[in-house]
Amino acid sequence: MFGKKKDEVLEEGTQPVTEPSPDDEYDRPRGTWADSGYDLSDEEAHRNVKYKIPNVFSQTITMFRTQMSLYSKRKFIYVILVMAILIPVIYYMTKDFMSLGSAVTTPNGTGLMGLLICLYPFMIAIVTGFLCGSSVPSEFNDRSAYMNMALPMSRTSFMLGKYLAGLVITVGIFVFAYGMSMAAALMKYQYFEEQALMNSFVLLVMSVLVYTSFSFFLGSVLKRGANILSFLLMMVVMPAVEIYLLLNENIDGTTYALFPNLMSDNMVMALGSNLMASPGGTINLITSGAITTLTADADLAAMCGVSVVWSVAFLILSIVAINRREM
Amino acid sequence: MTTENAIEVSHLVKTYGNFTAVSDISFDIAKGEFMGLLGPNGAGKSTTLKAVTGLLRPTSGTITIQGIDIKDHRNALAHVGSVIETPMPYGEFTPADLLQHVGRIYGLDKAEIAIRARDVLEEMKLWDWRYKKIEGFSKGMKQRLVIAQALLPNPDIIVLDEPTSGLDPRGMVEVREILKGLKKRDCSLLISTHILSEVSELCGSVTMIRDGQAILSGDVTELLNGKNNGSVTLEIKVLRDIGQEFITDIGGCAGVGGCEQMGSHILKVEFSGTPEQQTDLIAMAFNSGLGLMSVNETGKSLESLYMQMTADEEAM
Repeated sequence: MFGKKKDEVLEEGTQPVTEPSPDDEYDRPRGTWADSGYDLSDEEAHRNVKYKIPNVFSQTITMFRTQMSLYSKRKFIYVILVMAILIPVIYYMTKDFMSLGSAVTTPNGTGLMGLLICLYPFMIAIVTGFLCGSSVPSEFNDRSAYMNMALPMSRTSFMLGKYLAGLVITVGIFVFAYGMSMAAALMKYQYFEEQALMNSFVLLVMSVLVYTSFSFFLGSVLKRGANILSFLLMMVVMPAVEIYLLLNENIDGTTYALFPNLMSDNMVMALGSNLMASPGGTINLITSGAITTLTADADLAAMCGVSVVWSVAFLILSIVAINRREM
Repeated sequence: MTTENAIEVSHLVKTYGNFTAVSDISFDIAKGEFMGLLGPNGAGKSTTLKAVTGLLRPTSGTITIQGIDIKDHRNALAHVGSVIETPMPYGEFTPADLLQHVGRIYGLDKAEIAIRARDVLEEMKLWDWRYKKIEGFSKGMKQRLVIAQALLPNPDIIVLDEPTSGLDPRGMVEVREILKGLKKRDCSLLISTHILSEVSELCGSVTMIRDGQAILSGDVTELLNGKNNGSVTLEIKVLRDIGQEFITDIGGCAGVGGCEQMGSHILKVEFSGTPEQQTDLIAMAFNSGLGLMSVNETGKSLESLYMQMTADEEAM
């Protein structure tokens, strides 16, 4: 029987009759093949059924599911979600004392939303750095890569599966937090400026995409420190250069607004708030709002285009790096 | 090149800058053959196994598995289970989670994963731990688990890098017994180990590596006979006291080079005759009236061959 293809074995017996119950998947008494979904009386026949390696897409989905399962066991993610839930709670407790001041330029819920998500640029850099930047290095440091990469799976599937899981989990976290901020803003205001809200939401997704791709790229080329380096490069080094160029008039506001690492700044400013826990926000405080017209100078489509190109480029570089990596 | 071989390694070279980790190693493993890779630390064993499992790219040379070039990673490793460099599976996972992941990669369906997972976890004495987090496992348990994942798809070929390291003596014996059981299934095995008895117990052929080069390769029995000029030591144990007459009779048998009495019940015989002459010698011992208890071949060990070979190399 050994060496026969699955289909050949099935032809000898009959077609599967029942689907196995997931509940007793591992508790099934040994040798009860009827429960396995195959009507075979020969235990060894089933044990020796051959298999066919799934296509690249299926293996990518498998890797995605595995990585999602790993993320679901990380306490860090639940801490972030709890923090997101606390946004409306804290706002509710402090709304009578909160003065919006000059930080909010629109006198409605949109402006308050901008204020409530002012920490997001910082949080996006931190969360993507730690969840995505450490995803690949941990495979090598914990040596699970020696198991995964010796399996009949392409490294592209391995990388894509991990990347997609990282993207889904970080987008999920920030969309959830964004929703919580909306809920908080609705306590005070009854409406949002729809276009501004939509722009901001799209830029949220774009900024997570940009940061995730960059973090994964660093993780695929560095053995350690990708999470911290991702944060430093995206939130300190690159903005410092960009702000220097802007203030010295080497670039105009439109170009400045198209830098991918500043999409999270744009996300906040699109809502009418120039208070941001980011380099853009800092420079605004120093220069009394030198870059407040950031989003007005560039259209959303161009921002999205730049972000997608940046992300795809770094994803491809990540895949190339992981395919070239030797162990 | 024929596709009859499970693994074919041809002129494998792996360099890192100016350092040559593996230099022109070639060997074939036939279907159902068990081969051991022997060598001191840094000899190039792990590098060879990593190249065979696609973890690193050879600088030159070719590797085919069941006739498929390892460059076609997915198809070449389709029926290969491996444990390289003692991988540490995801600590947050349970053995059940891990085997589901591995099974899905191989394309096994849920039912097959469940059945085979039970088989391998029971074999590896981990069934009762199937829902416990791996991060709480001892090193030996993790080692057994990664062997379990290698066995999960019922592979045609198994590649193991020091599979019994970290196991207690009982665990080592149990793993060896499981590996021996693979012979019944026509499975091929490539194993690297420091434990010479492991190779002599499991493997039909051996390749010795030193400084990245294969210094000896071939059938274990033939190599041992060749290196000892066909001579073996027979240890004859009898129930009653050995007398001079017995020693004279045995010494007179064809193929016997000399006798040495070890205590009153054991006689060591240097023998270099044919199998028929060996049978006659044993028959004589049996008919001596001293009560033959056992005849063992000794002094024909892989260890002595290994020491001899590495000494030869040093002398060169």
